[in-house]
Amino acid sequence: MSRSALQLTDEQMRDFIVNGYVKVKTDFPPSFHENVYEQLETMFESGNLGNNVLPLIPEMQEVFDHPIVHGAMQGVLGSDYVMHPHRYCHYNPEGSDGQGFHKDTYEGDEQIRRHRCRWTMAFYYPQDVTEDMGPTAVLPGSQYYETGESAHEQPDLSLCGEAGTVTIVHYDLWHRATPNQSDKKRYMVKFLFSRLGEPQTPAWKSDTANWDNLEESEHPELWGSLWDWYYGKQDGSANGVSYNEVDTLIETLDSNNERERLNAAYRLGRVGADAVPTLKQALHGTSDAIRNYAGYALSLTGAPAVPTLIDALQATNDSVRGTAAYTLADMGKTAQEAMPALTRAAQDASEWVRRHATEGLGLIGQQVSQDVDLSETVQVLTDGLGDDYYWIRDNAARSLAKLGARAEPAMPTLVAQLEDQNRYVRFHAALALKQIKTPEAQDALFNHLFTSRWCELTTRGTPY
Amino acid sequence: MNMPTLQLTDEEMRDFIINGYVKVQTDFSPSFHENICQQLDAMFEGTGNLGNNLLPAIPEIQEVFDHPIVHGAMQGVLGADYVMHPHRYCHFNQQGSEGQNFHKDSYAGDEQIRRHRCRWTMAFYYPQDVTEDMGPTAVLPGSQYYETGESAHEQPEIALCGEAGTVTIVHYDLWHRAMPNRSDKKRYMLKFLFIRLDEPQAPLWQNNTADWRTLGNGKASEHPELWESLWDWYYGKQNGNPANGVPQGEVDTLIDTLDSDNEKERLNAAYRLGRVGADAVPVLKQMLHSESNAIREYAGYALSLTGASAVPTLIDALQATDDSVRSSAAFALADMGKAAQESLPALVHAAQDPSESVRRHATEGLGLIGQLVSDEMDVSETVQALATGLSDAYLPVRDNAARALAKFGRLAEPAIPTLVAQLEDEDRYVRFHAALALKQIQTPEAQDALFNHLFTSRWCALTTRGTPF
Repeated sequence: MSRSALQLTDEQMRDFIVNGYVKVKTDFPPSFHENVYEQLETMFESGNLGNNVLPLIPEMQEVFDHPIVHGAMQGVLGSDYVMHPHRYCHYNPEGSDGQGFHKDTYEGDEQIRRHRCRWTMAFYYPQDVTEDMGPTAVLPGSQYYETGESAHEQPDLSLCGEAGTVTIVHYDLWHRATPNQSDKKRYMVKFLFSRLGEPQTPAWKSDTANWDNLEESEHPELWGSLWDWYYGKQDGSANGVSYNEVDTLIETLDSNNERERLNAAYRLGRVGADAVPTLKQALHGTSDAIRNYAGYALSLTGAPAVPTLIDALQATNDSVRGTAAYTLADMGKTAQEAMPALTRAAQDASEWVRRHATEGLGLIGQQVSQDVDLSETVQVLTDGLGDDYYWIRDNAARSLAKLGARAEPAMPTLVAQLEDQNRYVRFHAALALKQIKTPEAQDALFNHLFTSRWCELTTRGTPY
Repeated sequence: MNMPTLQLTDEEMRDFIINGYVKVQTDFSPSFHENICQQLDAMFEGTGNLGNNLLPAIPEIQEVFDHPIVHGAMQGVLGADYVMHPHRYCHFNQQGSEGQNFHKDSYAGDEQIRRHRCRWTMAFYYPQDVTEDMGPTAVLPGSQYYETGESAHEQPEIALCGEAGTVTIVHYDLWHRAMPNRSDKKRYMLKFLFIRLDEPQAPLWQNNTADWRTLGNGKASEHPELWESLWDWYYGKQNGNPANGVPQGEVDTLIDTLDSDNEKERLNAAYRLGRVGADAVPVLKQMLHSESNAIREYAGYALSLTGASAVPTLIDALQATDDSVRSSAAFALADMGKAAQESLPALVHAAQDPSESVRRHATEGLGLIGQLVSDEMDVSETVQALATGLSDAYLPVRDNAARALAKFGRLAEPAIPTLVAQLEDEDRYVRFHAALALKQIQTPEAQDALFNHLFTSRWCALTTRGTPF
């Protein structure tokens, strides 16, 4: 993408990591948004077109191409992020009761929660939204909380703003539509975006590499680890937690307080290699919740944890294999020696294991140097395109997109999946063909895209 | 495109040149067409006719045109690089309808230009069996070269009946109509448009003979010079090669015939004049400056067929004070193709003429001629003139400018910023041709811009009001 970008500052990135959202304001003239608003009105006369709202009203693309939106999105999702094909115009009518707070499910994927930000939503208001008009509200910082209990301890924050306001949020942030007590309708057009590359260097205007200078911290290790991740630092580089704490921290993984559990997990991840045997036990324990926390700790531990996780891919318990695959995937490049094991795991009998392994092959594989032979990985991902579970097909296509030119052998299957029964798989197959970039892949993709090309000027009233 | 093809035979090409249509039958299963019919039913019940958006709404239809037998036939008549035009329409002929009168279509996004050389086609696809009583499309074979209904109606009406999956490819200027539907079944016919991108270089069909006369032997030859000149054109032969054979002694009579009451005679006279060679040029020049639009046009066809020796006369005519003369000259040069290459600078100038009609033809000519000479000459001024044409106030000029740039491929690179801007032209067809040009330019910059446009415009056929995500 060669669009111009107005980058985020260190402070904005810090706030995004802590609070899970960043609000920016585009500077289009009011007539721009009025035009979008009127077209939405027309659409609703015959019903909400869901994902097709963009080809119907392509002017909205300009909002997301605006330098301030594009720059912010690059900061949180990297320079080669992509717009996801799910989007939805949320119409909050006059007098509505609003919604309860919730996290969204991932379109085309399972109910996975991630601390590292690989997906975002963006909320665009095509009209001014005041407090009484049923703005979207968020619970800042709640993107890391799985329980409503923890989330609701955060203050309820209404995202008010003028037409052209865009709020980018971590996908797992708790949010809702608030009641609309006004006599005006409120549209909010939600778009999804996903990360393609793993962070290598800051994609914002960064003046300091050091998180500790920036913030008093409720979740110091969690937030610091995410800052480091955004900085492209490998896991396991900063420790500082004494081995003596391990027993207490392990016990805390079972605390009633989610925040304490979360902090314990991230502190455990800073102990280093010495904590791995204990974390291994937790990984193989009976509690799924503790297993997941152990996974976060092992991911942060980095290289010393990789052999343990590779072993765990052989466990008899599906859930253990699933967490191990998830953790290796989340770790990224540090887990590169796990590629052969994940390639096998992508053919696991459990769809849960296959799902995570398939994602991991993309997350890790894209960072593996060009002299490593990935042909077996590409073959397994190609097979994954025909999996019975659509979220595996979806992840396989997205992983192939991340592998770029190396995914070329998958081309015939990708072309076939342009007609997958699932709409998101179709999109990700198209994305992979785009990333492969060979003339043959581009020809196939252009054929698909020209066939799918909607003409917004063509309506019932003006059919040609 | 590297789709498999089933090519036409010499006889099929001959028949296309004479009759203006070729009918082929795809071999999809009946359920393929039933599925499309059901989706068409749903469209008419739900949103109404979506017009040009028919294809993104029902993308399976693309498979019909990608079928080897359709693709092969289309390549035969439109060349290897033909493209599907963005205008398409589902013609719904209801039970009990009275049908239409015979007509030629106007060109979507272009003017009411008629061409003997086949650079545009329509394809009619039936998604259900169509019998005579169901209101099939009918054509008047051979009428693509006739401007008057009088001449056209002398041809026998042919009803295009056929099973589901029948596709009839027709010369864009063929007279046609929907017949009355006297049955109790509805009839859908999906009309798609296609355009030629390159000019013919060699036969794109299973060709065994280069000789029209051998092939035409036994066929009544009502328009021998016209038909043969088109065969030669398809063969990539330059205009004006020594195969003339019409003596100068006939010129006076032929010129008189250009004013005959009988269109078929006028047409034959024009094409015979085109075979006299250089000696006929002075007289044809007079005709080119005539006040009669019709005579000027016939003179244009004759000069086009005359080829290189007519080019200086046509270049001179681009300076005439009469708009119509300049316009006919620009049209004739454009139609001539590579043989007119020395006129490229004059056409660049003409592409900035005050007359819309002159600009329109000159712009088209820059693409038709320029794409053939681009390896031999510097075409940067041509590309610049076309980039300027992209913002012409007159729609057909913008549309032709974008299409001409598409023909230039990589050489059109300097036009990228303007092409990107015209992706939001007020006219939908200019938008498409700007996208097409970006595709043909093929540089990473052009492709990125085009992918951005196409992913934004990408309609999901699975996403409906009932299943919005």
